[in-house]
Amino acid sequence: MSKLIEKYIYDVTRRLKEEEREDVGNELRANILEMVEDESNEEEVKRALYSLGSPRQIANSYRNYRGLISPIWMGDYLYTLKIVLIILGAIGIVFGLIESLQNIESNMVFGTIFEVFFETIGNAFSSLLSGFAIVTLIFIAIDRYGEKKDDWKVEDLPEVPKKTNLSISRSGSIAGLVVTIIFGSIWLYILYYSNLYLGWFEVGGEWVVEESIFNLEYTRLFVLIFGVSLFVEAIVYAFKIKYAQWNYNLLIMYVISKIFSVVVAVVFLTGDLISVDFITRISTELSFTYNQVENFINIFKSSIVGIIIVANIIDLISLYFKKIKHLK
Amino acid sequence: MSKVDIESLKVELRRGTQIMMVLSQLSNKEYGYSLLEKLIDKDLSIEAGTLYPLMRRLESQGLLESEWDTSSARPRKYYEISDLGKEVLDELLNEWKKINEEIMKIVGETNE
Repeated sequence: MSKLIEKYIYDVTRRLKEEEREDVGNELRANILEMVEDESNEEEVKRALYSLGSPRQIANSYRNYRGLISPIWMGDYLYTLKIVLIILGAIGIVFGLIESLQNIESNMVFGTIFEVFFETIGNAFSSLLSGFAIVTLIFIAIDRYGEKKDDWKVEDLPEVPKKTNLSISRSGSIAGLVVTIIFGSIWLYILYYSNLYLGWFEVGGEWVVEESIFNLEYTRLFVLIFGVSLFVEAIVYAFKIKYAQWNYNLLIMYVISKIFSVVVAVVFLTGDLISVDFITRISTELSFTYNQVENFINIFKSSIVGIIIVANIIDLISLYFKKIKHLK
Repeated sequence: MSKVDIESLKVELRRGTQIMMVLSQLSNKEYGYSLLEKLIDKDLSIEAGTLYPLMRRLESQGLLESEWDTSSARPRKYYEISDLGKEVLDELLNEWKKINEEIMKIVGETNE
């Protein structure tokens, strides 16, 4: 029995389903042996094998291959995968960052950086993998058991995005969503642990917050409220991605979310935010009176409130002139 | 030549017709290599690497029937067209004639 033929047959059949390997192998062997007159003549065997083509190619013809996800669904699959992976990647980075910051084991600066970096990457990577698996499984299920795509209705056809200034770039919205989620989550985290990260630091061996800037109960109360605001913003982004152009529904949602987040920010700033201990500490360290420091902080807070309100009004006005005027 | 890969277009066009070639030549039992030779003798171009998997696929679709002959020194798997295969071949040939007429008609129109 020619060794070359056996190697060829093995290389073809190892790519096939187990139950058909033997039969395909036998048939292939029989056919190859018919093609050569003398199987000990290596040149002749080679010629026959080359005329059959590469093992990969012939195995592919035998396999009658059908992908897990049929080409009909491929476009939707890739699109969904892209969005889900971007969002999961962002969330994975945020939570990885938070988790690794909470349990830092190294006490060296570089060690800490490496630890945080790799734990974050690892965390993001594992959430990407599970996202990939879940989306793929869902699409395999849709492909196998879902309705066939032929039963479509003209009513389901999406609107053609108008080539006016009403359009919203999808990739821009996705980037915005990602940035919002990342920074929003970091902000919520900082608020919740404001006693650990924001304060008057005393450097000596370790960084320890002597006096927190914020009242912890106050900032923790606002974690939930900012969380809702973040959620609302994320929803608006989701609709921006969905519609990809301005319409009245989107506009209303956008304005509501803007107003809501401005109100939250203003209430947050004007309330009992700064701790008395911190003001006392600043005034003793910098030799001002308590009232002077408090006044300065109030001016500072009022300016920030002013900036937030003005910036958002400008944003809404520019939205009106650039987009809303064109809404019909 | 242009960027179009003419060879792959030809292969694509041939693919559907190869089923008719194979079915039409299997009213009597043949094994893979004998069918290949028969087709080549008739100047039909099909490659061994295409023909063998195709025969197997047509069998799995019920258009061919097969049996192993192990009586001789060289075992051979013989294929023969099934009743379903005959019906399908008729349908395909009709379709082929129709396509041919349609193509000739519109190509003829444009050539005038």
